[in-house]
Amino acid sequence: MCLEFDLFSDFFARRENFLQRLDCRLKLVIALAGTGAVLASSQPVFPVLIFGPAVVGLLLLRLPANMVMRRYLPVLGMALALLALHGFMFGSHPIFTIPLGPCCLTLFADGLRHGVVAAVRLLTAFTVLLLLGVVTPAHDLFRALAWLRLPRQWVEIAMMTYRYIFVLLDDAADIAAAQKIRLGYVGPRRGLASLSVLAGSVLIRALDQSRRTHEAMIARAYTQELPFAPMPVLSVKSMAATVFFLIIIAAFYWVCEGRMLI
Amino acid sequence: MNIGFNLTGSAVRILAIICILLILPAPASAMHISEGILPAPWAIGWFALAGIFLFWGLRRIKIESRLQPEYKPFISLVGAAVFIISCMPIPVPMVGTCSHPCGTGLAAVLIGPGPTVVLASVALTFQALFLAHGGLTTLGANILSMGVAGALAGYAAFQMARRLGLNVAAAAFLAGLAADWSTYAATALIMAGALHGDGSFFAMAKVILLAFVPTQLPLGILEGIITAGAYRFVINRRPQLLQGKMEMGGAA
Repeated sequence: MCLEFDLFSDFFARRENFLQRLDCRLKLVIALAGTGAVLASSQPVFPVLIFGPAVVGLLLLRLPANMVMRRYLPVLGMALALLALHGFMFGSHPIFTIPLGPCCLTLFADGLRHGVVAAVRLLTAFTVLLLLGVVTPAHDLFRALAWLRLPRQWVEIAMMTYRYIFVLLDDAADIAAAQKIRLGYVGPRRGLASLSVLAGSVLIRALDQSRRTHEAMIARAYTQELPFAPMPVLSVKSMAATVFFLIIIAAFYWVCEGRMLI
Repeated sequence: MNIGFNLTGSAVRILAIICILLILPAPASAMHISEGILPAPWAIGWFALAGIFLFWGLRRIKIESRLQPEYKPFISLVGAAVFIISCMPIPVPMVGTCSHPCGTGLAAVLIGPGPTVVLASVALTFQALFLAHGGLTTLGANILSMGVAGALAGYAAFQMARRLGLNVAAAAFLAGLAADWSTYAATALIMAGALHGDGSFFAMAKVILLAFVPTQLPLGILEGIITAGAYRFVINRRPQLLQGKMEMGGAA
């Protein structure tokens, strides 16, 4: 049994580099602006111009190839599916037709063009998001989200959930290992029964832990609200870097799309 | 642009099979709409709609927190547990691959649909930021499909089953099944809305739904079995634990 989130991207966010040092609020703003501009683009050129530097950034971080492949594989599959759906289903200028017995599949040039734009947008937006995840620690992102005026309750719940995922994960891994050595996953019926027991056990541990956690929080003067440390004042250097990135994004967009972003 | 609809029924099926083959390497993330798929107006629209349900869920949590001081740690821990459960690989027999449960049916049965929407939004944010499943711009759409459709369908199925006199295991099975299938149906409709371009919305929705069928029909049943098994396990082992928590807004 291999739980899928064995490698959270923010594991790599502790590595020292320029992007990691940049203020988390600014990283979030740049990533959202970049992704928004990519989504608003109607040609593939602008997304490709963002995709290039983002991929270079990922390569410079020297992430494990295995992790990057696992992250990209679903998105590549989705991009190919978008190409196929648009190319074969919509359009009026046929490129070629594949005879398939009594029916046929026709590839359309205009449909394919739409598909390419959609696929490139998908790959670029995904790469930007992946880059954000690997250069920003989780707690910084939560603070940035609170700074962006997300409801405080939501951020509190997110922080507590994040903390206890790893506590419960240790328990889940122990139970799964014990089940495995007792041949709990031999055959689909036993596998399903073992999975159900595992899920139920994780729930019981969570409910037990919630009581203990609340008591521990009360002992630390918890009064229905988690205190947040104040965010540091933004440095001139960080602000300048952010303005530089935003100007680059806007300029690329204007050149490629022939119109202003806003 | 004219719609290239010279496709016959069997061609649509073939196209659906092609799409399945393309998506197969990652069925685990098929339930989440990937970053960048939705055009900006659609992404904003789904965010606005999801915001209404999130507001409702947060309000429920606020009210419950006033009544029960330990409510926030409780739902946070349930969120962590459901997140872990939703990452457990389930073998999908028909296509010989693995997928994972939504977990929203189980959460809705335990804590009610409103807080489940909030927990789903938290889980989806984690998956977008740290696992590269889903995305930030598609968060609204994903909250609607997984959090809102899944939670409401699961909760409604559980309540109806209990009122019809079914036992808790059968009701939990239906909750898991309904939550899973409704999540994928909502995902297909949202994607069709964004991707159909100048073509037919219904044709696109049909193709996407067809692409989901081979994996998601059996997966829904398997999720129902796991939901029922987990719920029954907790009821048998620690009924008092669940009973106390149910008073905080759960379904039983």
